[in-house]
Amino acid sequence: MTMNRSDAPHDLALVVSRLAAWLQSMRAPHGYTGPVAHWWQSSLHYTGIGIDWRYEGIITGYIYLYRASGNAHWLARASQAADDIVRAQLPDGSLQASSFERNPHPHGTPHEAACALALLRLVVVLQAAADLRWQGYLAVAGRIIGRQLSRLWDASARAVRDAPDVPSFVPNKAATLAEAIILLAQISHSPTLISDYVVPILDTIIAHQLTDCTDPRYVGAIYQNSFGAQPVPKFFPLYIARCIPALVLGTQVIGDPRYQRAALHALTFVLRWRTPDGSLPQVLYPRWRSNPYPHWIAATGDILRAMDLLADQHPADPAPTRAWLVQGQLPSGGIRTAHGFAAQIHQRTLPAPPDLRDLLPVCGWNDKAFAYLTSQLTPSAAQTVRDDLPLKPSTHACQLRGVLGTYEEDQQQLSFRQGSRMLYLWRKGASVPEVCDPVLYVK
Amino acid sequence: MLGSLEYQYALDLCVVMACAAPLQPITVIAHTPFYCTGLARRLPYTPINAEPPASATPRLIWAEPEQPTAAAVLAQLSQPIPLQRLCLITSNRLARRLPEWRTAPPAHAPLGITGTLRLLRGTAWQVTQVYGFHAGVSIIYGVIGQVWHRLHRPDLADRWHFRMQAAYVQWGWQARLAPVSVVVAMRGQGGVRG
Repeated sequence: MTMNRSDAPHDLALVVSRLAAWLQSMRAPHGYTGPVAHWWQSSLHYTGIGIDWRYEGIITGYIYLYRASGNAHWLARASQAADDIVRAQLPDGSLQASSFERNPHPHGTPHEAACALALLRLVVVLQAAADLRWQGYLAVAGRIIGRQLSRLWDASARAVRDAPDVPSFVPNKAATLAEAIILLAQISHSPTLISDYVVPILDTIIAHQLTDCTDPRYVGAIYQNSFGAQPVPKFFPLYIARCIPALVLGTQVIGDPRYQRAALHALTFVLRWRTPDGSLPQVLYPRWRSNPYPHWIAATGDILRAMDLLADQHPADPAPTRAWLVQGQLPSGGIRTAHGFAAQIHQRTLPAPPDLRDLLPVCGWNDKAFAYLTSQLTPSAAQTVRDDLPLKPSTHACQLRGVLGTYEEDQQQLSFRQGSRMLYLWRKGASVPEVCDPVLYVK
Repeated sequence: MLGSLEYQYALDLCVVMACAAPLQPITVIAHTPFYCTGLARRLPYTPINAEPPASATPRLIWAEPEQPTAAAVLAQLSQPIPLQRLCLITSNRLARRLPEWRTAPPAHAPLGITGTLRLLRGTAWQVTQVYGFHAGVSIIYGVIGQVWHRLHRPDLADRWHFRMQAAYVQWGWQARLAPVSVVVAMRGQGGVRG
């Protein structure tokens, strides 16, 4: 299914409705729950509430729905999610269970900054609506950012570290924090926040970008991270795309054309590696080497968002990637995480059912699809979106570590079984799976 | 600090195994800040006890047996109720190389896997499984990954890293060589021995 703003708005509304209903099914009373499948490691054992970057896309998506439809229901949903963050704030300003694939640890990056960013986007909306709840959310976001800066700001390097005791820099994580600081500076009329923190962060991101290299295919790439002065030669299209919103926002606020150029070069690099089916490789290395699998599906919402931000300056067609994303929607309404997790070690795909981690819809990936898809709704289509559709059960053949089985999901639970033998059973909202066979003792 | 994957696995799997029957009450015994914090995050509504409470529960997590007190704690745990499952975390010799031991040591004088199995031997507790994290082939795969990294092949280093992660959990004899282990023991109804 291929769609765009003009040709299929009501199909898109249905996709968003099913996704919104699925998100509701993942809620416990105080937050969004569920297992996590990720490149670095997965979290199939801790399945409780995560106060991480899932809130960036969820709250942003509800804001898009509210703005497009004028329906206060979506503002209430955004505030409900914001209240989850408020409730999870620890006395030092950090957040409980903010480490996504390493939950339930606090201090997750860029997750706490992403939560602050979400709160600040909501503050802007509430201020416009003269809703005084903005004051509480602003205070919480300010404490999150304050904690991030006090813990991670490296005054000598003029950048944020990834860990307090390790000289390190991760461009995409710093970009999320920079976006949050820009919004905080605008809301609180504190321009020094931009000169003191945002400018050095964006400059450091640009310093991590390849501009003149012998292989033109790498121009625009941004190193994944660095330790001290040593960059790590890995280029993840998703994470490079996540640098783009901060560079675009920085251009608007600071007026430095270098940031816009960097954003365009970054997007050009990302799209240079796009495959005809619209998907992108997982990670590229120097000398044309890559580990292409798994290809993200739900997370491509963030790549589409970057394309959308630069649509008037970059001619790329988002349709193939949008189709890749939408075709990943499961009958339950959740969007698959990936394609090719089983190939993560050998990087060869075999004719076999998908890996369980491919199918698993994850809140912290679906939020990216949700934010992008809601941003594409016309006002009339947004009027038709709802989040109370009944979930259709999903049933798929799948595998994990050579064990063939069946993945099933409905309103109440998600499971993986081999015949009648249950290997994994998670009741939605629970903080641990009820059944977890040793075959799933993997991260 | 996020901590090592070894302890993350141990804490997660202890909680998963202990919570397999979600309606049954659970007792958690831990006394170092490291374990108290890690278990409280995973079981926020379950009290953490420094010593076994007076009333017995069907499910127990003990993190972790220490040399001076292990026998006394085990004696207190062995109360006559129909069926109990005990999950213990043990830090072994190699654990001292993990980052936690530089900042917030999980134990003061850990009994270790050998001592723990010896402690349980001859009691009503029947060991049903021992899991170890990052032992045997997992270590070998990790070393191969590091070699590829030094040879400037980060692509292959990453593949071997994931091969290492896939082999991270070991059981049987290999588990006993791991830095951190989880011992699962049952007591009562068909599980009684000694």
